[in-house]
Amino acid sequence: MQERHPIDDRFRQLLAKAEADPPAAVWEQLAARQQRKRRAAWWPWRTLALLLGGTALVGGAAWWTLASTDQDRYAEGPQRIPATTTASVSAPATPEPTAVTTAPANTPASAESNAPDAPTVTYTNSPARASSTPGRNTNAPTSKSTRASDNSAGARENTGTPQRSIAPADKAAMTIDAQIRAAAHTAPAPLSPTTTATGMEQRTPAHERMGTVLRTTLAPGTPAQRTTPHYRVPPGEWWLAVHVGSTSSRSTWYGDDRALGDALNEAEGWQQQVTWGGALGRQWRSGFGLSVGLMTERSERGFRHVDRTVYQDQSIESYFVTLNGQVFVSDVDTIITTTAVETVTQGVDRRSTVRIPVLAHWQQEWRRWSLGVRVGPTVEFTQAEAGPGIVRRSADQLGAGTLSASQRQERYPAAVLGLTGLDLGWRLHEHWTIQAGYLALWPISAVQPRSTVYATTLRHGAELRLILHLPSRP
Amino acid sequence: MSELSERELVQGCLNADRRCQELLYKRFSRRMYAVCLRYARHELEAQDLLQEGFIRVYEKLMGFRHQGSLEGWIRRIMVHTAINTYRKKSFQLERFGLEHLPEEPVAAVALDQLGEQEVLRLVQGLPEGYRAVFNLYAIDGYDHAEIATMLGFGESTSRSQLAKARRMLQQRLNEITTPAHAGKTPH
Repeated sequence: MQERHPIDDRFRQLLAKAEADPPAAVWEQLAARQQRKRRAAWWPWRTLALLLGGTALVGGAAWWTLASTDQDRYAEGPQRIPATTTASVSAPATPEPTAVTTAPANTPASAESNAPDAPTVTYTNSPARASSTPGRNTNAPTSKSTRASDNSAGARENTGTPQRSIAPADKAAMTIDAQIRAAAHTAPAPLSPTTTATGMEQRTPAHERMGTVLRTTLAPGTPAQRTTPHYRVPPGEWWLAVHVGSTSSRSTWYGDDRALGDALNEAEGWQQQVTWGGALGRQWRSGFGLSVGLMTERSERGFRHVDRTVYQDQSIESYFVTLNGQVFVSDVDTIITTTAVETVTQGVDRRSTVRIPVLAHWQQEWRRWSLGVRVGPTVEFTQAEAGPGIVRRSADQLGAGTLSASQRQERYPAAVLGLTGLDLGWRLHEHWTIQAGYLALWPISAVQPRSTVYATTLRHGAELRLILHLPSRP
Repeated sequence: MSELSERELVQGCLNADRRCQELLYKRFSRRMYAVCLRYARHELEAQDLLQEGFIRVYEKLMGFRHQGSLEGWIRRIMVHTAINTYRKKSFQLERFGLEHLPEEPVAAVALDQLGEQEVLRLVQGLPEGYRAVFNLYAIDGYDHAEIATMLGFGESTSRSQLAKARRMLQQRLNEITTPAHAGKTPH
């Protein structure tokens, strides 16, 4: 049972249901804190989502390329055909191609095939195959199409004795890819697996025909066909990359002014930036490589600082009531005067950063997949714009204020950072690779800081890279 | 939106809906700010308490079971936030020599004459420890055992501080109702 006192009841009546309007700034600050908390809770998920998204993208690209191209092209590893290598295009293994046009009886030879200045290599289906389509127009004139002609039409219409040819002069001028394409288009009409029992012919998908031709092309053949090596692992190759990523950064403040540095450190939080850039590098057969690049990012961060200063004065006043030198009443009053001053400083803190990483790479490839690490030093330059910040107002007072561009610039001196990255890649194509990676940049040293306080920045995040492998010399 | 039920409001806040959070704040901030003003020394401290209290409200809403009034639940969080802030301070008992003040009768008329703001100022003028105990006991209805647990001292200390707070308030009430320092001569 609580002992109640008259004073309690009266105070309770007046104050228990009292209401007072808080300043609007309280909600603004509360909302800003909630927002920061949401962001802080969100960024690890965003980084994870980016990594998963990157992996999914690489995986998707892998699936897509596997589904749409011949897997055998890469069955023997990431070897590539030098782009300038010429290779003879031979006919499919079955049936054996003949070097001369063998037109069936009653089939008039074309004028072109007889022209001595325009020799052609013509693929002709065997007579057995020709006879496998009874009822078809076996007496149709031999159709000889060049690589520029519409072969699909020929494949559809000329099912009796399809013949395709490529002029050697044209062929020599073609790159291997072009030859593969041309061969795919000029390849004989579908062979027995695609010829139905009723003699109806089905079109073979282009990529299957290409695979057939490619296999044939790469198979050991006659010396004439192996005048140049078809596959050759280059000793090294140059590559160019572009990348985009999302990094989280947090600055740490150092310097002679410890109190200001501590205040700045207390105000720091993790920030998100989008980074982008490019790199040029060389990769050797051993898996090691070197690269130099350029990374840029721009950060914008809202700044709102409330300086609250509470001044409290305390004074003691004494009163005495005296009569004939005798004190009748004495009293001591303590008077406390509280004055609160609130100053709000707000603005946007804008900075641009450029980094030049010089990195050593090591990469292990397995079929189309690659896993690599990179490490090396990075020089970082920051360009800061004029904006708000915490400043020293006097020898014993800190507060918020607006700094000029040069003052803020001095707070972010050039710095040397270490960069470490882990990359998972997928070879999209002979010349293209896509990589998803995680990278971390940690500060090593600031270069000649001139301000009493200066910052170095720790960063980490995810990155997506698209790499172009430049063609090697034959 | 402003006519959302208490349950919808809570659910919206649990879903981190910023509009619901703002609505919850607007619905209860006036009453909670008055609570904070009672526990704080000045308005700026009360604003900090209000902000801190609502942050905790948003964090702990998951634990609200809809078994009592939402206002009462938020009020308890505000009080605990204020007490935690009080406990974090390196508080030293302020000594005003009140032990020697004579017990004076309560001027009921004086209390009736005072408005909400004057009474609030009187409470804010109490030394920190007294203010906390007086608020908890006299206005928010906690008993001495609860106060002792919350503030981390014995029940007897709670009783003693309450008594001192009352005496101090009585003295100040009497000063207000009596013409200021009538008959006193500054020395």
